[in-house]
Amino acid sequence: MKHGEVGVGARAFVWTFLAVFVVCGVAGLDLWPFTGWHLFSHVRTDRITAWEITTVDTGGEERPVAFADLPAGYRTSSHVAAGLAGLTEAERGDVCRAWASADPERRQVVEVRVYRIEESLGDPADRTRELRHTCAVAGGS
Amino acid sequence: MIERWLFGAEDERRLVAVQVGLVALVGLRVALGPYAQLAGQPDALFRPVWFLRGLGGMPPLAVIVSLQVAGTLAALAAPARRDRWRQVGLVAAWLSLLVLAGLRASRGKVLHNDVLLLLVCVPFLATVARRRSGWQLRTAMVVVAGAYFFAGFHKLRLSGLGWVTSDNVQNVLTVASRSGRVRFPEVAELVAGNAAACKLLGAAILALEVTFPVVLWRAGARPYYAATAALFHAGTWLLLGIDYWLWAAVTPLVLVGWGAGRPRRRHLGRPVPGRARPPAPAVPAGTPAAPATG
Repeated sequence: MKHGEVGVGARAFVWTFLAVFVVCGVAGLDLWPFTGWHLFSHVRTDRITAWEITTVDTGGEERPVAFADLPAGYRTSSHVAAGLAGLTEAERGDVCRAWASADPERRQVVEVRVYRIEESLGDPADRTRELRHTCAVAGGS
Repeated sequence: MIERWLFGAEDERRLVAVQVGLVALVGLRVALGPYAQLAGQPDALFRPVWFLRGLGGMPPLAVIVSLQVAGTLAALAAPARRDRWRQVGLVAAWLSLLVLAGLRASRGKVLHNDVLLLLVCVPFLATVARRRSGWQLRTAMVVVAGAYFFAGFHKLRLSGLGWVTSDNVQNVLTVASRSGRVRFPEVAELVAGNAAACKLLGAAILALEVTFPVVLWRAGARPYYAATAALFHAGTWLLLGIDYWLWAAVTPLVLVGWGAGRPRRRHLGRPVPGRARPPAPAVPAGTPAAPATG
């Protein structure tokens, strides 16, 4: 097909598609599946930040939630934990109840705690663990 | 000039080969992707992408599996059909993948595993890949080149050359080796232990990404970039445990001239020492243009 034979509709479609692709790419906008292509774009220092979520049962025993052993729907919970501060109290409660319900032993969970952990890659002893959120889980799980 | 390139001609056999390859990749991903594991997610953890906001939560297993079956059947049926039906099959399989991958990305983290395949397919959804109409493939090439370029661009924008010169790559590899998701953590540890190798690796990755758009105007560079990208993604799996096999498949599919006819032998018109000059080959009217891409 010669240059002039591609229809106006096809041209408009291509240019619109590429415009959205490029705008999202340049501006770093995430309009999935158009994304900002932030793939390991920040420098990783030797201090890493992680989130730990624990459940506390009626006996006061506190255990970390092993998300790696849970279904895929739970495995990005650290990202949800990082955004907890932006949620309403009711939404935080819902999230905490969801984590409490994941207890593999079905313990009677009464509280969920969310810790922000910072540690050095080179020195595991150089570690801080800060309690950021606590949610009471009414009635247990 | 950009418009002339974007809407230029391509070999029909190559367009069909790429379209069939895309259908196969979409079908494989829909069938084998880790989507069934998403079922059972509590609604409170559901963070839908924009086009799934109408859903109150992750759909049940039956819905997810139905989408996988429908998408797989559409992809299986598509290559056997011609033109319009192949396109219909691609659209159906692509829609299944869009929803399934969208569900996977609705967990609070932007995921890129499926994104390149989804975006590269878009131009092929719009019309039948017809003889000499190359814009579907050219648009897909822009998407591939842009994906790598923007990944490098944001590394430079957010981290500068420190992304290479600092201990960034060493730290990434160290974290990965302790993450439990790497099959051979000792390999990641070994590389992480060598600062010079890590800086070299970082420089190579950044160079690959920011120079990727070269493939748009240097057809000869395409196979090299495609092979390097495939190697890069294999390394990402080996060292970080992150699965980008779709990228490793899509990039060579779009960049390498699979299925294209051999370009006309230019030496036919050139005099060969010791031989008489052969007559110019006859070109029948309506012969498709020689592929402009490698």
